[in-house]
Amino acid sequence: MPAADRLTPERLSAAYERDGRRLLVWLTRRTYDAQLATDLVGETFARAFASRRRFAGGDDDALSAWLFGIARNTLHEALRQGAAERRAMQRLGVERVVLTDDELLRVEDLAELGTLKVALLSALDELSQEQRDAVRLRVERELGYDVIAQRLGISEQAARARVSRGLRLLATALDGHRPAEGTS
Amino acid sequence: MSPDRRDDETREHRDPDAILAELGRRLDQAYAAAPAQLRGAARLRDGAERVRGALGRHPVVGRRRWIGLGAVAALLVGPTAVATHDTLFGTNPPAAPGSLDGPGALSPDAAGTPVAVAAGSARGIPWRLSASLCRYGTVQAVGLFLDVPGGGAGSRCDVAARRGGLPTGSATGAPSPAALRDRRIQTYIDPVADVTWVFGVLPAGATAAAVRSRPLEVAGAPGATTRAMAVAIDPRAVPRGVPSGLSVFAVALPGAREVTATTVAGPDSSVVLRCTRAGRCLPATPTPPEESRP
Repeated sequence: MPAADRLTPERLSAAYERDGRRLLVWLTRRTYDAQLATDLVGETFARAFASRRRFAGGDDDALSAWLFGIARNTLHEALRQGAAERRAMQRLGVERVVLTDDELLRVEDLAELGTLKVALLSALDELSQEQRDAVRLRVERELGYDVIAQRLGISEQAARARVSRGLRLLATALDGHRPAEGTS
Repeated sequence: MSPDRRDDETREHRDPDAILAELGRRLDQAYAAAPAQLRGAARLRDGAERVRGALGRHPVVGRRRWIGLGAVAALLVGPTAVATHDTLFGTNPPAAPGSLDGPGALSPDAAGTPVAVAAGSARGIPWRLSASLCRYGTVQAVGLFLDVPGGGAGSRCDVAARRGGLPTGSATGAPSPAALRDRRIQTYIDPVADVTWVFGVLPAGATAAAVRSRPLEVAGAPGATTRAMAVAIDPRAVPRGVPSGLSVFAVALPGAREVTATTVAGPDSSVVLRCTRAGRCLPATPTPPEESRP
């Protein structure tokens, strides 16, 4: 691989400067959880560092695509496991950044979750009753997955899956309300 | 003082850019201070991959020979002491900080050293499993950990108490020791290889596992069943604390998938265990539990 294509720590840091913000927005919009999204940004870059020799090379766009691929898998894993996976951060010794309530709100504002919420709630009729209930409890009432699971009489993982699937089905309805991800 | 508390107490509320700057600073520090072990492991892996790549194209040496050849390659390109240690012991990440534990999380009374128990390859990707024995009072649970080039996942005694859909044993929501013991099946979505690893520890006499899964991203997509043969654990692991007679399996499924149920077959092909979506396995009964139905 040409030296210019190698993923050095410096190049990864530059990618963080370039992509970290839109990754945070992207993950916050998909998790409705600013703390989880912040953890996943850290885990994504820790995994990227650990796997940097597997980067196939290419320009900054190729690197961004590779990073978002890692983020996507990290997100799926978190949704499945019911918690942020921070193994790569722990291996690398990265201390997580813990947000205060005020900071959570600021990140949610950045991701325009309020705007999303209005659009989302108006599109709920598209969903099955099961998914609608789960999405309502999460988005409208902002309940944790453990509480949603209790309310619906299902496991926490099942609650996450219902919300996640519901949000995916609503993606089309939300597209018209999304600011371009990656704009700052 | 925990890192969480320190974050809250020593600074003004940050805006998102300041939060990202703080996270970026911590990542940069970690990149700079990455343990030599991590760099060494990556070099070792790269070297082994080069050798494997060359051997994989050899007309006589088939892909299935990879495992042994990978070990030979590791011996060729890395320090012998490291390779020998890795053959016997599994990765042993530092204990997770208590701040990451859920409320009422269980701590084992005794935790064994992770020991390598099996290795193989799936879809051309090498995998390795290590196990450790965790004791919670009179209950023994086996923590199983998967290592692949694209990362790793599983349970160790210090992280086995994560809640993860397990039935709880107390008002705090923490899982019971029995639930930890019964959680035999785990998954890991490998971001590098774009596969979902499903792996587990099986009781004596188990011969195969049938994993029912479906794509994670496609609502309503049909499921599929994948069968994996059980592999007896390395006998060298037994004197190091892993119960004898156990077997393990690992299988790689394409893309991101969720496992909806797993069944484990015995010597006469009858189903001996049925495992739920959360990986909890119970002896097979004529009527499967609701949660384990695909």
